[in-house]
Amino acid sequence: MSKLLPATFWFTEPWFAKRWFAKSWPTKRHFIKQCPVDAMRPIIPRVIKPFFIVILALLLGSCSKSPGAYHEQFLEFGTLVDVKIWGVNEDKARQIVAVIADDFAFMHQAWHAWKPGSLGRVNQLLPSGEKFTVGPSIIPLIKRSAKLSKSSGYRFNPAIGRLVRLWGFADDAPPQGPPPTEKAIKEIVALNPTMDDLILNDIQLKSINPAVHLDFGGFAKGVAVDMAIAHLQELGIENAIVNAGGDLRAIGQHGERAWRVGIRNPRGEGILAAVDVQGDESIFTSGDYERFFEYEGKRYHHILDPHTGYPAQGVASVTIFDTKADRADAAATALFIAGVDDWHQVAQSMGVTGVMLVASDGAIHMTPNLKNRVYFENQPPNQIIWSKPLSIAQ
Amino acid sequence: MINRLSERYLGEKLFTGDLVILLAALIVLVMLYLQYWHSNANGEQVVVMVSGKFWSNLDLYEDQVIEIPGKLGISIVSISNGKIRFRSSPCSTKQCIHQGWLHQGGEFAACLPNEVSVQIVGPDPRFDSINF
Repeated sequence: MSKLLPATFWFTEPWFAKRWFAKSWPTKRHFIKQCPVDAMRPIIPRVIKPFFIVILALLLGSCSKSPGAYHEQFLEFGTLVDVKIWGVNEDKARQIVAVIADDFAFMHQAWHAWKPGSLGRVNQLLPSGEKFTVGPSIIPLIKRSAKLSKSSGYRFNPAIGRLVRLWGFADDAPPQGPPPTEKAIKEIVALNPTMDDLILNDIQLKSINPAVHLDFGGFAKGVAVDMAIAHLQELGIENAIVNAGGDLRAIGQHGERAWRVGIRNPRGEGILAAVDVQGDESIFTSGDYERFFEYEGKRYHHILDPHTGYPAQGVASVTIFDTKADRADAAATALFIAGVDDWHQVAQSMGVTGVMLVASDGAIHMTPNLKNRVYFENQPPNQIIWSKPLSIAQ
Repeated sequence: MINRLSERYLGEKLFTGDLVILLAALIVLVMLYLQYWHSNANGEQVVVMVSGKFWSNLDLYEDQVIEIPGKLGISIVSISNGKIRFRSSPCSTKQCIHQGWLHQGGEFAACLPNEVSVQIVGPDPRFDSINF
């Protein structure tokens, strides 16, 4: 008979089950005389309570949050650094962010072009033309940036520290103007300082051009972001975004969905476009609105063309998509200088994966691989010019 | 036999198990209400940071004008209709003011010289990070 009874019967009539397990077949007396509550009383604590406790625990468990996104900002590297980590409990995340902040503090101190520090010392010794020992943190910077400078056709050029200083963009506070005289600019440009003028022999460096002065302004941020991500990965973090003053690299994703990144409008307010990032990608933007000064009604921004010595014209902003943040950083500067006509060729030779360039006239130039990824917010741009695809070099 | 059982039980009185089920249902109801109706549309708030440290939490749905003391002086931000913007700041480039109104989760404006930043945060922001 027990086989014929539905499963629910055993739940709703547990007193019956008890009788059955006790091997005494329920008689008519059990149905009539035993009031259900009386019969259930002894088994409520043993059977029903645990049953409901399990259900309640499941309900409450679904409400309490699993470790979601941890978000922290700190001021370092002369800018606001924003770290987001997904899926790690808060205590661990806080410790990890503190480690990253220490890294940034060290790099800012060591890599500042003019303040006392490893790079400051290198810059003091370079004009002598003698060989000297370089601080170990500087060597990979020099090697990597020399390679990138070459592949950018010397548009990205960290050797023009003197020019940057002349314009006043080397200081933390933006310059007030007036712009430097043409003669002073021409003097530095004529000496043509490049990374090729440096001879690095093991740990010893020497410059054959006294005009070389290293300023890793358009590059150190990318290296720092790469190092922060590498450090996070070493600590077992698989999902994170490190954003240093607007330039970022993202790894993994935000739980079940991709990381959502907004690209700010270089002209006007708000967000220009949204892009989803999954896996490992760097997004770096160089814009003429980031650092600039106005003098007698004319605007001078901080992205200097090493060939002319003046701020590069024709572009409002360049956004680079790439895997490595250091290359993305260098390429953002290089493509900004290359301008509307030459950016594609420079992007190709540097080996970046995607480009979105906003020209001064508002036209947007894009590589076709971004077509289904970049969504324009609010009003679509008045003109999008799709370039030829970038073939994967290397 | 089962029919006779249910005849006997139905409409008689409330059993302890019924009370437990009713209680559980009530708790679930309250939880669902709190989760989906009680909080405002996106549960969005503004986090204000000064010198890299948490300064205050503002409600994005309460119109107000706030003075934030930074490194150089006072930055003024105003909130209205679920949007926030910098009104004035003692910096030279006024980038923070040029950012204009922020309204989407994750959007962010900062006055770096004054070390003041505001960011819209919520449980599921529109943007995780802003590139500029």
